[in-house]
Amino acid sequence: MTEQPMSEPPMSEPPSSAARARHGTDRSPGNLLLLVPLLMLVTPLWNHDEPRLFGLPMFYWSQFLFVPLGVVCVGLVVRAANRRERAATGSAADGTERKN
Amino acid sequence: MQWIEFGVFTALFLFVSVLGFAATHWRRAESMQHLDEWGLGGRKFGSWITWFLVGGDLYTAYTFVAVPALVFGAGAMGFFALPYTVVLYPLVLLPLLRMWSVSRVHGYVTPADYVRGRYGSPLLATLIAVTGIVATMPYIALQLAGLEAVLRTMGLNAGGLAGHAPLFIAFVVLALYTYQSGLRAPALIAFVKDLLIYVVILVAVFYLPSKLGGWGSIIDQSAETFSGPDSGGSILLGEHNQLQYATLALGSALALFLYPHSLTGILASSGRKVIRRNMVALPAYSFLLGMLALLGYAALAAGVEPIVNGATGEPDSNTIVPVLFDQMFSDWFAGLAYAAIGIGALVPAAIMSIAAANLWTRNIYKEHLRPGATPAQEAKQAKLASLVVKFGAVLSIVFIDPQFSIDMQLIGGVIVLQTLPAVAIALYTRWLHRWALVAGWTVGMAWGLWQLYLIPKDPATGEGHFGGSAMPLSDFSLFGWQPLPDVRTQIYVGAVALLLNLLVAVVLTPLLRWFGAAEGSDATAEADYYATEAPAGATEAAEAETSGETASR
Repeated sequence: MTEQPMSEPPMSEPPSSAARARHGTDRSPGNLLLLVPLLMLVTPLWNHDEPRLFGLPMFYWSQFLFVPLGVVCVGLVVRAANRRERAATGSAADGTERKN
Repeated sequence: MQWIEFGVFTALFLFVSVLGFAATHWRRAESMQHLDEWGLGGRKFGSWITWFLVGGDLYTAYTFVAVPALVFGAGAMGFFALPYTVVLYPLVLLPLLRMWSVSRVHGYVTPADYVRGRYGSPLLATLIAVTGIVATMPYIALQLAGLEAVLRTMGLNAGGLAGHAPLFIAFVVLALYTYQSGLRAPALIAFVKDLLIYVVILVAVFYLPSKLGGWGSIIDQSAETFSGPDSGGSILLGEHNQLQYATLALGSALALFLYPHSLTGILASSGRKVIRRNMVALPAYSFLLGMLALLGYAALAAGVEPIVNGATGEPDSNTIVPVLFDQMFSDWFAGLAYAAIGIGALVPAAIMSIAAANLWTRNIYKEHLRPGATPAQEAKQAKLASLVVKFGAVLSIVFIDPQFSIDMQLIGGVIVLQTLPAVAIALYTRWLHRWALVAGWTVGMAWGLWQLYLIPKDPATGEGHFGGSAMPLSDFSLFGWQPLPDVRTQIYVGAVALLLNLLVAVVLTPLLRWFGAAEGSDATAEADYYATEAPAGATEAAEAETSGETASR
């Protein structure tokens, strides 16, 4: 997915218009946050009975906890992307949410 | 016959049918004679509608009855549905945005449309379209199986053709309003379906433990049941199935948005912001699905016995959740739950048949049978195709052992995963050669199907075929060479097939370039992949581009 070198400025600064022309507003080092929820696939981390929560073994409640973790990670990436897109297109970005 | 349950169910079913027919007037365009209108609802659904529509599409009735049934039978392994739907959204967020943008710019309706534009290869596009249709058909049949589980629990459990009559009636109604209203019908009905599901499940997960002595006691009783001599279940993962759990969750997550019907919901949305917001909001359904899975344990603790299917004479494990509701709740609430499951079958069945019809129309009818078709002819063809698809699904339930549709669904996941290099990887790089993609698809498909065929239905005797989607690593062999002869660890067949597919594609690409095989033309430009709007006059340009005949004249 990184067939081109990562040459963007950090997330907080709006990217130069030249960088935008090449990559759009999707690319950002902050996107690496999307890899965090994949920890859920490492089964030995939580494949245990104890400790229990509300009577549920750790296997179940800890996997439930990954739901909000995933939401937070995706949410942060989405917020940053929306901000970049707004900076890139100005008020025109709202035009994509036309009510009709 | 459970009259109160049946009454509540029928009333709600009639209500959504009226909604389905009325949906044709909802956010109506000037003309419905275009595939964008019938098949994608005009490409203008906002955040809320998309949330209900995609939620109703991904979390199907079958999931709602089959996941608890899997936990009921196997325990922890059945819980893979939760990691599956959690890792899904971070994985697909960025590719889906690119797919939406490029489809908006070029007017693509199906994943095969995109492949056609990206690689200029009708063969590759046709392979992708056929894979999509073949994988979707049994998925529709499974929705019917979910609906039938509810109908049979309510007492409509006759044998023979009469036993299938209620299902048939329900599907005729569904077929008629989908024909008329297109994607608008399931989008509107999804509101009712999801509200019902949320109410029913939330009540169930808080009320049932209080009746059954709390989750601790439910889990302990289930563990005790599993410790019996002829049980294959366990409340934790064992030594050999942890890799299977992780690869099944990951493989299913990668496969989900390769199914044409999932993409339909995404392409129907009005903008990139809508998709982003939904990737944050859709996990609410995952939470619900996890809680539903736990109901499998509640059914074990409550001593639920699955109903014997009047048509096949065998116990149908899909009925355990309906039976649990019948035992534990008053009749009217059970009726509400059945309506939630039943309507939950109609929404995805409608979207799936629309997606399959879009594939047929755009990538087979227009590509091979009638290249100069007008938008109005396309819309007409798709509406007819959606009828054929639905009746095909009903016939497969009536005349073929339902077990066969479950096998087919298993195969569906493995084969749809083989389109990942041509559809998803292509969104990022065109490095892979189109003929290498065809070869990789062929190898992944052939090996995956062969491996699934080898998995015995009855592990004890080793008889039968298509008994599951997991194989021990020790069975892995390349032309007789077994690299891991003593490893009993299980793995998801689809994941291995995809790796082989990628390997073939990566090895053949430089070879094909070296021999100078034609690359094919790429209709897409890098800027198309992050466009926020279709350029002015895009519809006409896209039309000319996809109907190659007119363009070349």
